[in-house]
Amino acid sequence: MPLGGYMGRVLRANLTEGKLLVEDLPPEDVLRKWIGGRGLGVYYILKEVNPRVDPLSPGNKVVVATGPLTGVTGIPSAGRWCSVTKAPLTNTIHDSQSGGKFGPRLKFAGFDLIIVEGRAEKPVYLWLHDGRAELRDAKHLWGRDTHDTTDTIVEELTPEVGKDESKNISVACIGPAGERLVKIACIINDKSRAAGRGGHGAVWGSKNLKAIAVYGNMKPPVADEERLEEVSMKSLDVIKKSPVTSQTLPKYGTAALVNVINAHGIFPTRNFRTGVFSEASKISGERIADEIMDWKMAEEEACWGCEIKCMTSFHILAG
Amino acid sequence: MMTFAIPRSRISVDEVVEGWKDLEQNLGVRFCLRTKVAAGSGHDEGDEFIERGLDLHELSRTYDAVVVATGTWRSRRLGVEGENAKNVTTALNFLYSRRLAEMGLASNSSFTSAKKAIVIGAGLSAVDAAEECLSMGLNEVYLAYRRTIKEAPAGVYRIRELMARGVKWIELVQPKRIIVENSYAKSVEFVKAKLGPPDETGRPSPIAIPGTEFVIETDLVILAIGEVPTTPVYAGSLAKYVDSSGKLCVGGDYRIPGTNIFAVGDVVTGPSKIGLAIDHALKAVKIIDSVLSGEKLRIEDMMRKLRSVEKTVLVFEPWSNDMAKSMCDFLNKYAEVDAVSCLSTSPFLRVFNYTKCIGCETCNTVCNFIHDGRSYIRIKKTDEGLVFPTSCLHCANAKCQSSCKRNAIVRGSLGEIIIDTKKCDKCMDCIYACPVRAIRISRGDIVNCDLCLNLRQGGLTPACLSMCPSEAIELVKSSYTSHQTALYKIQENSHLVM
Repeated sequence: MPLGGYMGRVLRANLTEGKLLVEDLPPEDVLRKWIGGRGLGVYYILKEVNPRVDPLSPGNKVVVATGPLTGVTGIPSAGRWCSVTKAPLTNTIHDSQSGGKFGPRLKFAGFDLIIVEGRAEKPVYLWLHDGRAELRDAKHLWGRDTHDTTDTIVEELTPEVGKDESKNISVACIGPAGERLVKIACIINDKSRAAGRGGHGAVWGSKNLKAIAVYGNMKPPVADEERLEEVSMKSLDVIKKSPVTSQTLPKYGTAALVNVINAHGIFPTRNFRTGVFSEASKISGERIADEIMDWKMAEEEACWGCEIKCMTSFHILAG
Repeated sequence: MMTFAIPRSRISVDEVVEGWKDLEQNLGVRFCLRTKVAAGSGHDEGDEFIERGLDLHELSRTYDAVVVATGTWRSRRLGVEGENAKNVTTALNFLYSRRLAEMGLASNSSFTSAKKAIVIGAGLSAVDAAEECLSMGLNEVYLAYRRTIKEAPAGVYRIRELMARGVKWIELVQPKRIIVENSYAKSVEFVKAKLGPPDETGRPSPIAIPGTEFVIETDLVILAIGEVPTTPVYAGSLAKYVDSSGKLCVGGDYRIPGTNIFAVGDVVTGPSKIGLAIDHALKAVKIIDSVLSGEKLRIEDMMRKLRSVEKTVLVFEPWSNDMAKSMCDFLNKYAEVDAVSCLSTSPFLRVFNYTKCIGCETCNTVCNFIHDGRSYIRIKKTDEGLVFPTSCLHCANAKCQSSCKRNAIVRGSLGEIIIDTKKCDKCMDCIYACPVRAIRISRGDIVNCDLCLNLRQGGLTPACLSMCPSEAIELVKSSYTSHQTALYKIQENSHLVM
């Protein structure tokens, strides 16, 4: 019996052999000690990866992880997921976080974690849906950018989930940078969310893993819904009473910080050769909100289960 | 019990009769009245009405299953001198004698000549009895309890309400004896008490203080010190399933082990409220059904069996601002709801009339049943012991709807709030926006009362409305809903159901 919040299943994808195995989560004492996606990811890497391994060799592993709160209705902003691996940029165990809808949908597909190991001979992508997992050929996707990859995969999978449901497929993928093992390559999910730090995209590239697509209708179990309601009410109260999370972020997005950071002289400019950017106000959240923001799209594309909705979105109409 | 013992002001007898007729005419239930089924023989209150007796064992041989739902009719006795005087009665006996007299089924009892009454106890029957005394126009009504108002099982709120209506509350007193003259009680001798260490129920036990005896004159003594389950088993092989407190012991499948006799309600759980007894019964229904049919009962399947009808009749009360205001004030006082913000969302489609509500929790119970274990009604319990439901009022200026960024909150055919869970992204803005905190989290979805859309599609009224015994939940017709007539057509939005 899994604990509340966990789906209780881990997918181990051995790309060298092309084998997919479903494992149980570690026992409760481990789950309690190594909390969340980051905790569990680090647990697996510590346990299974030789510290001397080259990050871009088949001996490295990458864990796509969610925590017990991810995808649980009632937890504010529980839409995040993380990737844990030995990172090529730092040569240390490293985690990279991202938002969007990928994390919750990974759980709705029936898995808490994906452990990717080995190296595929040819480019592949993983398709996880309603408790099942498949490895698919991604040769035709190799070389394409992340938007193109996402669109193509969603189009391919649409017949399997139905047209109405296709918008509920989430894709995390790498672009040409990851394929070429660039050490700052990101993993991009839901087109616009990045697990950007540490070069995790290059680890995917080294494994010939182009993308992971997830879709599902399962729900993480909740141990005590009455208590959950109380807790979520309390946290909502904190979020809605703070002017930053209730007004500034929803209105200007994270770019609200541009002017503030610039005024403090710590705005990274020209590879941090200087901390002040003279044109900062032209790229600030205030200007975006006033001039080019597409409110409707921003609200619809905000991360899953988030009541802050700091997403900013705009169409480029000319130039 | 609902027909005979609970005062009219709380539960209208018409409601009960209506339910009875519905069962008889529409569902083919046959009522056998004045019939006592028992194993062995014994006497209980109300036995004077029996015309024939049946043996429980024989019945269980003739039928596939027997369900015992006999409740708690047996009153506890004080065990003091003078208890058998003619004008000493139990609360139940007192209440149903009054009902029968009202219905013309029995001659008006001797109680009518009384001028002063003492009710001993502070539970719900004591409160009912005291209320009945007031309605009879008695000059002096005493409510005597051996602990303090804080421990009163009926709750501080109900007792204060009675005090405001003129009942004299005496706490920390124990009846020592009833002084009888010519086989009629003349007065009751009490002794003062103090609170001692907690007893087995966790409440402080009262300890008599010797030498503090005093006497109150009366011409009617009503004992309301609790009831015990009326198990229809007096002797025989089933007697071992009756525990020391008189409850009938059943297994996890609500069955007396090794028999086809099931038991539900107060006879199993001990005395409680209507809602809790119904709750026990409804949970049992699913299990008993699956035991008998060998299949698992699912609410969705039951709903599907409802005939789909195009039109149904819903009763709307006229809209009144005063009513809305008094409801919002009540919520403000007891449920920490901001009255101004609540009232600003009016007019409402459904209202709770808290002056009528008796706190029985039936609405919550039936909502729980219809929505498969997750009620859309919240039961609030205050420190004063006041119990009442809150839920969506389906207001016209709904803050949940305006807060939703994804247009997932839509209106149904009556103007009720419906959440499209497919569109919802679980951001909980609506939960926070609602002043009465009506929207709930259930099995990973954000849900709200839909006024039982599935029931209405089957031509029935929402469960809470039809099951509320005190008619405290109402649909209201206002300018906002007035374009809807009482006859309405159900829209094709079946994907929103369940």
